[in-house]
Amino acid sequence: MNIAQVIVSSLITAAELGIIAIGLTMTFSILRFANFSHASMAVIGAYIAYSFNVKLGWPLLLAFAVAMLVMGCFGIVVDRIIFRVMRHAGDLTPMIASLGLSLAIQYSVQAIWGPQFLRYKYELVPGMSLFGARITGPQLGIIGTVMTAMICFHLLLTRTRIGKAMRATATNPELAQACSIDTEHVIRVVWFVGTAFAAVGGMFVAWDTQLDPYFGFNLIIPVFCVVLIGGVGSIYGAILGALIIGFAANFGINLNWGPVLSLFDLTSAGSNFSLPVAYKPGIAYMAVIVLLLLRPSGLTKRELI
Amino acid sequence: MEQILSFATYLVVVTSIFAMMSFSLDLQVGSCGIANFGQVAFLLAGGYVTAVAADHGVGPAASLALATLAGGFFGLLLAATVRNMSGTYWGILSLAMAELLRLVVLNEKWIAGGASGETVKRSVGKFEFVVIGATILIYLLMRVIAVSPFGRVIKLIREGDRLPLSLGKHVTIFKAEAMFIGGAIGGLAGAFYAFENRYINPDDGLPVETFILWAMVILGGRGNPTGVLVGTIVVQTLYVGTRYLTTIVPISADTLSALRLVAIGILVVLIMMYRPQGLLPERRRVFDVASGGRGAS
Repeated sequence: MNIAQVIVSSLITAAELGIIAIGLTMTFSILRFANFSHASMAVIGAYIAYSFNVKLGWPLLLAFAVAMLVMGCFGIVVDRIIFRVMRHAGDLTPMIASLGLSLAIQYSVQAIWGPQFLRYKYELVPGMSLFGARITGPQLGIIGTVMTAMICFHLLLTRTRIGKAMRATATNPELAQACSIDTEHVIRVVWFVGTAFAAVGGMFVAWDTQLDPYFGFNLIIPVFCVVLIGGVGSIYGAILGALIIGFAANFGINLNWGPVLSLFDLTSAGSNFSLPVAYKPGIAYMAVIVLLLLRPSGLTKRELI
Repeated sequence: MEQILSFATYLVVVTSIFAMMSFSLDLQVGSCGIANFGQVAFLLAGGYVTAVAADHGVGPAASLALATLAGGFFGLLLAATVRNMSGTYWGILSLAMAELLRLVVLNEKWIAGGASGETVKRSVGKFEFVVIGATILIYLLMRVIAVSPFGRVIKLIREGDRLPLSLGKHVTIFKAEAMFIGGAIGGLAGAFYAFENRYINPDDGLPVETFILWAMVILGGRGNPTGVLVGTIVVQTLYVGTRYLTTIVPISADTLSALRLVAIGILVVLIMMYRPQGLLPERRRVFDVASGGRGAS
C-alpha cells in the first residue's frame, strides 16, 4: 500500500464531499428539514457545466463559474416555487417533497443528456509526483478551490452582516425576525450559496471521474453521513466529517485486515484480508451507523458554525 | 382473448404485490410516522431469502414464512439501529441500511449470484389466487390494526413522543413492533415478487423503487389503507400504461422510462405542495366530543 497515494485520494474524496455537505448542513440548520434533492443539484450543475464546456465550447473554468451562478439562482427559484409554501409544515412534508424533486431532477438529467457517461473537454496534463503519490492538475485544483471556498465561507459567516444574520436565523428564527432580520432574505442567500456549492462539488466529482447520470444517488448517503457525523448545522463539523469519511473509505479498502481478523480468530494468523473495492461506499454507511449508535448528536454542537 | 386475460392477470398480480409493499410502508409512515426511505430492503430481503430457500429445496409455504420472518427481522434491525432518533435520522439511516443490504447481495456471489441475480422456481400452486388472497388479508389486517389498541398507540406516537410517554407507553418498543409487522409484510411481498418474476437481482433493490412506493402512499393518503390501495393502482397504471407510448410518440424507451420517473417525482412534489394528506385522506376518529373531552385520533 502506498500511504501517500491513499492520503491524496482521501483528501480528494473529502474535498468533494465537504463542499457539497457544507451547503446541505447550512440548509438543514436554517430550513430545518433534510433536503434530499441537494445531491441532485450537484448532478444538474455538473451537466450544465458540461453543456457550456462541450456544446458551447467555453473554457472549462468559465463553464464552471457560469454554471455555479446559474445553479445558485436555480436554488432560489426552487425554494420560491416549492419549499416556500411548506415553511411551517413540519419537517416531514418538505423532506418528502425534496425526495420527489430529486427523483424528477435525476431522471430529467438522464432524459436530456442521455444515460451514457460523458467527460469534460480540457487539456490533459501529465500528473505530478508528490511524496511518492501521483496527483493530477485537476485534483490539485479541486483541493485548492475547496479550501479557498471554505475559508471564504468562514469569513462570510463571521465577518459580514449577512453571515451573522444567517447564524442568528439558524439559532432562533423568531428572535432573528424580532431583531429586524429579514429571514426570507437570509433563506434566499442560503439557497443560493448552498446550491452553488453543491453544483461546484458535482462538477469536481465529474471532473475527477466522469459524468454519470446516477452519481447523485451515490452521493446522497455519503453527503448526509458527512453532515450527521459533523453534527447538523456545523460547518467545521462538516469539514471534519468529510475528512473522516474520506479517510475511512480510502483506508478501509486499502488496509490489510488480516491481522485484525486473526485477533478474533476469524482467520488464521498471518493471512491477508482486504475489503473488495466495491464496498467503498458501504464503509461510509457503516461509519455513520456506528457513529450514531455511539453519539446520536454528531461530533460537534448543533448550531450553525 | 387469452393474451388479454393473461396480461390482465399479470397486472392484477403485480399491482397486488406493490399494494402489499405500500401497506407495509403506510403502516410505518402513515400510522406510526416513521420515515422509512429504505422500504425496498424488505423486498430485497424477502426475495433473496426465497431464492436461497428454493435453492435448498425448501417448500413454498416454508419459503414464504422464512421470507416474512426475514423482512420482520430486518425491520427490527432497523428499529434497533435508529431507536428513538428523530424522523430525519430514520430517513437517512434506513436509506443507508437498504443500500448496505443491496451492496452485500451485489458483491457476495455465493449468496445468490451477485450482479447477475438468481432464478427462482415458482413452486407456489395457484399463484395468482394466493397473491390476491394475501393482499386482501393484509388490507383487512391494516383496517383491524387501525382500530386496535396497538393502532391507537402508534397513531399517538406519530403525533409526537411526549403524550405516549406520559401515558407510560414505551415509544421505542412500539416503533420496533410497527417495524417488525411492516417488515414482515414487506418480506412476504418480496417473496411473491421473486416468485412472480421467477428471478431476483440486486437492481430490484435500487433506492428509486422505494421512492415509487412513497409516491403510491403519499398520493393515495397516508394512514388510510383504502387510499393507499387507490394510490398504488393509480401510480401502477401510470407506470404500465405509459409503456406503450413509444408506439405513438417518437421517443426512445430509455427516455420514456426516465420521463416516467420525472412525472412521478413531480407528482410527489405537487401532492406535498397542494394536498399533503393525499387523494383519500385518513378519516381522523374523534372521541368523546359531546362531553367536551379532547379529541384523539
